[in-house]
Amino acid sequence: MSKCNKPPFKVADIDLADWGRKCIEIAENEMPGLMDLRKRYGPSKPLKGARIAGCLHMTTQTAVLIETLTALGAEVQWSSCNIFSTQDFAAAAIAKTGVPVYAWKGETDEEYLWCIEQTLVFADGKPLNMILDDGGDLTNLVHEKYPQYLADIKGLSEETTTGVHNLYKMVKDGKLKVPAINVNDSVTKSKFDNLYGCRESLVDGIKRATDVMLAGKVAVVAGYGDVGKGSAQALRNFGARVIITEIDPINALQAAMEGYEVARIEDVISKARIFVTASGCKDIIMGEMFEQMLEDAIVCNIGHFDCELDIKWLNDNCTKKEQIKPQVDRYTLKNGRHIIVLAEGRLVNLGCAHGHPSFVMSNSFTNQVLAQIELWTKSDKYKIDVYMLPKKLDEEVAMAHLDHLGVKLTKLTDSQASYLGIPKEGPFKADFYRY
Amino acid sequence: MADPVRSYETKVALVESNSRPDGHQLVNTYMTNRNADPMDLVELARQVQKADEFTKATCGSKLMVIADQIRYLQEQAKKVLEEAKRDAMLHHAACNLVKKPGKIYYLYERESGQKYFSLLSPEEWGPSCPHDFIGAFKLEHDMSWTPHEHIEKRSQDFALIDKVMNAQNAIIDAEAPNFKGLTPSSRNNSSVKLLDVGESDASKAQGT
Repeated sequence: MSKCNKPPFKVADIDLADWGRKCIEIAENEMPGLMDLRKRYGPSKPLKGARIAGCLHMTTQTAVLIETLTALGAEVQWSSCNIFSTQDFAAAAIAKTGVPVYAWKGETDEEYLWCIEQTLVFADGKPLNMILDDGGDLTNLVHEKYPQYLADIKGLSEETTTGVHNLYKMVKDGKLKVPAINVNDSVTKSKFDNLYGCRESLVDGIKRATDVMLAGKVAVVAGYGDVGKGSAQALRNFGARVIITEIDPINALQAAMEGYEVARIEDVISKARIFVTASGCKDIIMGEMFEQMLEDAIVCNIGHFDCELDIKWLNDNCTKKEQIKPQVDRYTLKNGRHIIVLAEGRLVNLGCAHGHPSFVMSNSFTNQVLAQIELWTKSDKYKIDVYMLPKKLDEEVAMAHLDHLGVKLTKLTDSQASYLGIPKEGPFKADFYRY
Repeated sequence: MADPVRSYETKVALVESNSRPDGHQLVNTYMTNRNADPMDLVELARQVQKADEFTKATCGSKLMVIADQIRYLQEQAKKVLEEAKRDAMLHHAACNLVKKPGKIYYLYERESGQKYFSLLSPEEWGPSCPHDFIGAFKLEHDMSWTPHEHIEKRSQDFALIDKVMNAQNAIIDAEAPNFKGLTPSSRNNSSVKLLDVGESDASKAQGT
């Protein structure tokens, strides 16, 4: 890596900055958690001295996160954690403020790594001392290729399931060299992202892609975890008749007691018009099942990976594949029937819609900022391991979002608090409470 | 320049003789027609020969102009075809991003032979540049591509065209009457053409 001629930023088109700024302004109002942190911690600048390298989808919401980190005193350099997820206008707006951003929509894999590498060393020649990661690529790159920087890094916070898996594996193998906070498993992150985020963006994606009428249709949702719960509820609220498939008896019972029919996929394959996989597992809808589907059945995935649907089988065995529009493919099968596949089996809410709305991202990102403050200001408290944010901070995140919704919280009286045996100001629940 | 051997071969065609011009019998045709000075014939022959050469040269040079034009047009056609081929190749080169007119993109070739566009220049890649650099190209607003070394010249060309077009607009769109009272409203029913501008200038200078 050559640091001498590092560009101050690299985005697709800096002229998009004004547009990006307008989007950021609207997002700010929908991200009350982050704005609240700016208000509370802006004056004291708890992140002063922190040089944060961030690797997370460079979107409008992330722009609000970045500007919150800088408002709290941090120096920040940014890259995106996905080659296609950058919103070029948001990247341009951030670059224009002088924050070094290296991200554009449609990077190659090599460019993706180049972008991450640009964020490691700051303008004054000093290397990063904090990591904010989504997916673990930045974490791994520093550990494997730039171990000389590890000693100065006070901590890292990880946004998502994949990255958290990677962290626990690193701990197990003794490879992790910095204290880490698992932001993903904060209640106000995963529970809100997965349930409420998907509840809005699944149907958004299906509708943008196909304009299909959902009311009355039979829809199959594979998996009744948080994502499945949100997906099923959204479809039902549009009047679809939803069938759940599950392997876990607890989740299956939950679904049944919510009034959903729970069945096996092979028994309902020729009955449903819409198929949504949300299992987090693989091989949910396979080869021959496609042949039994109704004409123009819609098939999509909202689980994390694209291995839930056997898209390869469709590609190999169809007689014709037509692109109706980007991210919407109509396959003609040998039996003459058609299948409509959304986003090529990848996340339909990202491929066909705009992913999670600002408000739900505000929950995730407020966790991120609190994790960064925690690791930066209390680094002596954290030895090398993977931690969760304290319950109290999780509650703080939720608290910061109540005002915007006009929620009026009831206060415990002293006698009520002592009756429950919990502190009056929280934390209100034990760590094992499931929400 | 004149070939001495050939010059004598040049036949001098004299006007046919007529012993009774206008029905009037000449006394002695031989005497009338006899060439007193043999050098006169040589002189005539030389003149004819020279004229031949001039004609040949003039014709040759006129044809040369046409030949030049043909060659030039051929070259132009070839250039257009080659540019079209290059543009098509560049438009179809692998690329993950949506290209925007006015921006410069960098073409690389992977080990597999796949050519692709990158936003990064070889300088930005530095020593870690992963693939062979082929060239830098600017996407123009007409969706044509300009190789890096011609970008400066091409933008000058565009600036010039801009200037000409603006000048025309200034003439045609001016609110106040200008040349020959040409206004936007009169423009459509007026026979005045842009070409008249020069004349009108001249006639103005002459007439008043």
